[in-house]
Amino acid sequence: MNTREENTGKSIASRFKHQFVYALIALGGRGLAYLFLYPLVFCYCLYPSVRAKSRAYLTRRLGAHGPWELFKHTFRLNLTFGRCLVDRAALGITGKAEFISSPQMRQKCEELVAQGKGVIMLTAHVGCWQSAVNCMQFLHKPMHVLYYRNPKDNDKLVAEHKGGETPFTLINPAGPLGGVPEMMSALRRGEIVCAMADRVFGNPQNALETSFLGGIWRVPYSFYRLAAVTQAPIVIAFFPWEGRGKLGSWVFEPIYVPDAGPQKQHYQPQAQQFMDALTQFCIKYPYQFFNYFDGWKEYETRNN
Amino acid sequence: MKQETINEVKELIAQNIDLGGNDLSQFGAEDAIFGDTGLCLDSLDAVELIMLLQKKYGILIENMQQGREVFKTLGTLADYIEQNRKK
Repeated sequence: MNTREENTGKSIASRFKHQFVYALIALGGRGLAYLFLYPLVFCYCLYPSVRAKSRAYLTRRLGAHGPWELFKHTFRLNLTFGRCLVDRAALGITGKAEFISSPQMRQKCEELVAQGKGVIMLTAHVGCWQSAVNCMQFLHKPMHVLYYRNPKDNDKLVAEHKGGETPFTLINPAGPLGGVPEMMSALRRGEIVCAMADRVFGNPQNALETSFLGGIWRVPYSFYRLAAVTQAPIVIAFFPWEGRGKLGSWVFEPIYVPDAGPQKQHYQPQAQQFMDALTQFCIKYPYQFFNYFDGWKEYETRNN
Repeated sequence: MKQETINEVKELIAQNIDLGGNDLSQFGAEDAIFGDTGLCLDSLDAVELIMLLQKKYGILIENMQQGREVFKTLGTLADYIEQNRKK
């Protein structure tokens, strides 16, 4: 299977299924939608192609060998993913979600913002990141999210459920300039730029090789270069699903990237630092890693 | 005047951005800067180029729409520098 096609962010479910889940949430709350997830996810997991998409991660992280083991872990992974999506829709429809953050975490983020150099918040396709970016108003600074929205994507953003405005602006990374002017001017204004640092988008040459769960995983290095030239601190933040309607937050110590010139290898330690944080997340939350493609094989294929 | 600015920009790019062996002397005012033709710079090079323009000329590129117009060709970039340079 073509890896590039697998890694597009396109919705798995049809528009009708999304609308059906939204209706369930509106009628019976997230509990009813959660119930519906069990048979839905079970049926999905019967498809070999669905199990294949998460096999590489589950094998490396949980040692999922054999069809039953793989089915069981795929079911749990996709059930958690479904819950995250239900919670995101519920946040948009009912406006209800509990964002769990410690006073220390808030203070840490507020202090970084107060430095006035902007903040690059790096997260990954894990947990409830899409809901969490709607809950950052406590930082009192505009937030910009680098996000490629696949035209075939059936998901609604949180604010689109009620026709309101998103509390963040979207920066489209597609195209030759890759959203760079927007990101740089946002940082110059001392604002927050949030991006997914676990997947390469665009030019495959602009990637660094990192060690992740016993193999090589390629990640973008543009964020580290951006941090170096703007002197904006990087903060790694993950937002685990912590139960019904509860979004957790896990913020790591900030990274200050020295300007070591444009050569990408100079930024490998920072990229590895990000992947080490992601490894910690995957150890604590094994069923919340939502990259449905084999990034390790992609690296091997590219290098053979 | 414009040709002088184009030469200055080309020199700036050659000194600071990895062009993968691309010989800049063959490019002129009509050649694209980003994309699949011309200089073939990408988004990462955009970080370098925007910083270079800021440092050398005091020029700020604020968004993609502006960036697309300014960075269309070496000629459009030279025009923009001449009209907006603060240094």
